Amino acid sequence: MANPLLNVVDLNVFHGEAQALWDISFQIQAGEVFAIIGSNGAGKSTILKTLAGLLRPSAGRVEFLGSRIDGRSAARIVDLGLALVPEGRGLFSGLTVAENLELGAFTKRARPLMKQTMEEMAATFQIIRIRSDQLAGKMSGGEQQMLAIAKALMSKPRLLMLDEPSLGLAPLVVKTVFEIIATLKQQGVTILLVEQNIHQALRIADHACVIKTGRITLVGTGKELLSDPEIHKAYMGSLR
Amino acid sequence: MLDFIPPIDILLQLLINGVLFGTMYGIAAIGLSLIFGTMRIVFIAQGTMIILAAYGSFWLFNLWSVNPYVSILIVVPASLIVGSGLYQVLFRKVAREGQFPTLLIAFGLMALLENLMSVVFSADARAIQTSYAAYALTFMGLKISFTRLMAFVMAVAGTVGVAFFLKKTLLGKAVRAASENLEYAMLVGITPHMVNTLTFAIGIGLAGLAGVATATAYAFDPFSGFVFSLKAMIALALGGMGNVVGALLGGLLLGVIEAFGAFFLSGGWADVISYAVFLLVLMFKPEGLFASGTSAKP
Repeated sequence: MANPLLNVVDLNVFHGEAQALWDISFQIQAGEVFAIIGSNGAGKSTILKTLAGLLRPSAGRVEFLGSRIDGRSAARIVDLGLALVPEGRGLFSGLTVAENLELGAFTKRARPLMKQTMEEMAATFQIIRIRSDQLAGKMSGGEQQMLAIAKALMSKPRLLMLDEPSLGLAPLVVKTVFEIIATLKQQGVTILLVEQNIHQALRIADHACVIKTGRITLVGTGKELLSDPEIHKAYMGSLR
Repeated sequence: MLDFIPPIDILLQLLINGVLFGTMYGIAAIGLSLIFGTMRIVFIAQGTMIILAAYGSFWLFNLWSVNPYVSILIVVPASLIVGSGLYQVLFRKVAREGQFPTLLIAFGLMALLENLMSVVFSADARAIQTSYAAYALTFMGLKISFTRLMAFVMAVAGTVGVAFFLKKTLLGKAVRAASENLEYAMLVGITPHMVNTLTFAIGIGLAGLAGVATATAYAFDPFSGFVFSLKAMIALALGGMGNVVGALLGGLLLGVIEAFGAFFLSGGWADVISYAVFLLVLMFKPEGLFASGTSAKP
């Protein structure tokens, strides 16, 4: 197997005195979609925040493109190519659509390509073409999610991390969001997807893991986990 | 029945005087607003920094005959450097500790500078005495002091410059983004220290500009800064935290309120009215008269 794009080894993270993650380990290969599934409060977002440099692990290591990144600042990590769309979408509501996109390309690596990337985003996301001067905070939830993904793509990520992209969206909009994720996958974008919409996430994921109270309990391909009776019993009975 | 209302030319003169003086509060408030908007630091030493810059302009004129308006080219860049230095030395480590420690540091800095200036420059009131210091333009019977008009122009230019920076440059947008949500800003590669250093530098740079304006148009002494800071806070309360244009408008409004208060009542009442307005606005419209939210806006 080729060297992984991301290698997470025995990651332990605390929220104050309380331990949130225990010995988390997984690998992501370039070009694949990797899903982390689990119920609310299981620690999914904590993993993403740690990878993005917003939280410091107490033990373990994170390797990206063969180099350790745990302990580095969030700004350095996004410059290396890990972009996170956080659960709240990460938009600056008082700034316009265009301004949000410009800031998406704030890193040294992405800044010289800003204009070109902006044109690519306008070609991919219709909302950017027609609403560039609108305040991000005035858009609908679905539009904001599209903008949030576009903003993250402006940084030219090598790994795009999406935290609950379907949260709070209407079913039709959720379908569109997953279509965009599928398109990005086809384009070769590596994606780490955290979702409570387990059926949709596992259908699109090449590999996935299940996290329960801060520990990984199952690992496999998306297909394997999709047909796993335990997953069905625990998570999908009421969600399908 | 309406005998107490003075003639229109006096009312207009009061309005002009109030607006011209109010711009000084406004530009001080913009610096406070920027620093509070990004770091949530109540930088009570802002007025003292203005007075320090006023001394800079004063001594450049008195020792080396540097025209006060030319001294902007020295005082403002020096203030930018002092501002970034102040952040690095005094606030960088405690910026995340909350508002109380940073307020105490700002208070300590103010007291230190006031006493230092008093010892070094004496406590005497100073003013730059140029050949045009007493010159006034006359327009339709109204008198407009040249130096105060220049102070107004400098304040407006400073406001426009900061608003342009925040609205049109990528770094300015980064400052606005960080003041809205620091965690989200970090996720796009903005570092808090970069934004904080920049904001402090601009805030104190504005104090430099206001200092030159003060030195040319008004008398000052080492202890004038505290009242400046208080009035700037009232201007901020009127204009709304984090809003650059609102801060200037708040300053103008305060200047006008004071001018009319002093005329219709007495000089002492002007301050009473200012602080009463401060409390009333905080009680009934805490977000300010011209803005909403607390993030930095052009």
